Amino acid sequence: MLACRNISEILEKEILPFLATKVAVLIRNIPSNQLTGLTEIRVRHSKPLALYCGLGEMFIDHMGRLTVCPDRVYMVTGEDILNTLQVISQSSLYAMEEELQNGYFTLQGGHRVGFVGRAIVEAGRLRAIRHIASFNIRIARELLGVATAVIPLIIHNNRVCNTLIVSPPGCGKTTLLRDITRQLSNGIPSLGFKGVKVGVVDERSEIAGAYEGIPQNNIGIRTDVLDACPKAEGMLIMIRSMSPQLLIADEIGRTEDTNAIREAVRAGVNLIVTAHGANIRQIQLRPCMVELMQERIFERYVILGYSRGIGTIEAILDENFNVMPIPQAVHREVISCG
Amino acid sequence: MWIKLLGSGLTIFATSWVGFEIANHYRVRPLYLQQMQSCLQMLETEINYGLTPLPRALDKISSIHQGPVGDFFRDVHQNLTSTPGATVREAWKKSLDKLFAPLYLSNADYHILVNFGMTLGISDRYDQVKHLKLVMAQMASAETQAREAKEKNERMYKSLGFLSGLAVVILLY
Repeated sequence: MLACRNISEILEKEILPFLATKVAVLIRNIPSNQLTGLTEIRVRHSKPLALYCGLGEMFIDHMGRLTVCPDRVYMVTGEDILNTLQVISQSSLYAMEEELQNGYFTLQGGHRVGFVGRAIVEAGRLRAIRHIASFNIRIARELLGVATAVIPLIIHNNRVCNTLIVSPPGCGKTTLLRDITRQLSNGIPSLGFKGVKVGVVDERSEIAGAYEGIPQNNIGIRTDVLDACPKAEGMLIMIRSMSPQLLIADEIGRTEDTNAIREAVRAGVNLIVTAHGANIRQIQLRPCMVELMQERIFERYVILGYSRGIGTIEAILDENFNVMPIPQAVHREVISCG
Repeated sequence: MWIKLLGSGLTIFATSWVGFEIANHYRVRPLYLQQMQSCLQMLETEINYGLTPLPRALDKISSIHQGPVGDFFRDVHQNLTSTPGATVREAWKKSLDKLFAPLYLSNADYHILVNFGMTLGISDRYDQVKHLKLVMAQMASAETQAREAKEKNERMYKSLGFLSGLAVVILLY
């Protein structure tokens, strides 16, 4: 069974207070059953306000109703953008230097607000983004039970296999990783698997949704979270200070990350990480990833996609890239609650 | 006779009072402008070195400064924190409108400060410091002018009030 919090509760408590009042009122007036499966809210200067539910795109017309046609719908104003920015930053954008460099804020609850505008470059490096013109608010969904079908395939002889989750953006990669973390940390009696000590290096505060260091999401009883720390450095700190049996990190891909992964595996720690990509071939095109693959560091590859809805598990491969049989239950749309 | 004397006294008292009021305006204006600058200076430190969130910085400033200038920053803080979704621009302007008279601001000062409020908190640190430096320079030049005006006018209005009362009394007596 999948369980998750009601979308209107998430919106009311964690998203709407950070939006410009006008936009918040519009979204608040939409009946919550129409927002089932809401994943993204897009706010672009002088463009229609767009909501994404699963794979569907919707706009809000002048009567406050949802519509699929982008004509005569609510257009985002410069003031909406400015006000949203002020509320998110507590009117203190200057205090968010790091966020301005990274291009996103994380809200309490692990929701990521990405933004773009005009980049300020200094000595060839991005210093900040000014004149912010569009936002993308990604709603983090805690779907307890998403990983149930995957778990038996990534546990082998009561040991967690080093796993790489491959997925295009927005396919439920982080949601899956979060549930894997929770289940492996708590232990799975039906498989005779006792919980392991899990260390989560949560650079973007998306897995645990930590607020002031304390995880807001359910990530299991044996889980320690190093929040907002760069992955490569964080993984090494985790190994040294918290002696985890399993390391979790999201969106790896830089050379430092791959070195840290090697280090972790040599230290005898198992790991589950994710990377962006539509299929295994795309991952193999990335030089630092292909090295890891050739070294047979990963024993399982979980490929996500949206062929049967968001979060479809397209394939699970073993270390030699042979397709493993997936239990039937995996083939289902995971975002099915609101 | 007594009524005449009483009337003369009242006349002199009233005109002197008006004179003192005008003189007072010239006396405190540079003082408040100076205080405003030191508050803005403190704000700059909080923003540039402390990276303190604006509500906390405003609270800090208002706790240190007394008088109408401290009241102004307290009021902005209150406007900003009491209503959800409030923006600095609106909070700042609302407080300026409210405390325009007690702060003895000129129309030019008012516009300078309103414009500054529109930029506060909505850009990165470097940008904020630039805006703060600009508004402090503008306040400083306003202060210089206010001091010159004080030198010229404070005493004059004080005497003028008393003497005009006296003149009226002499003419009518």
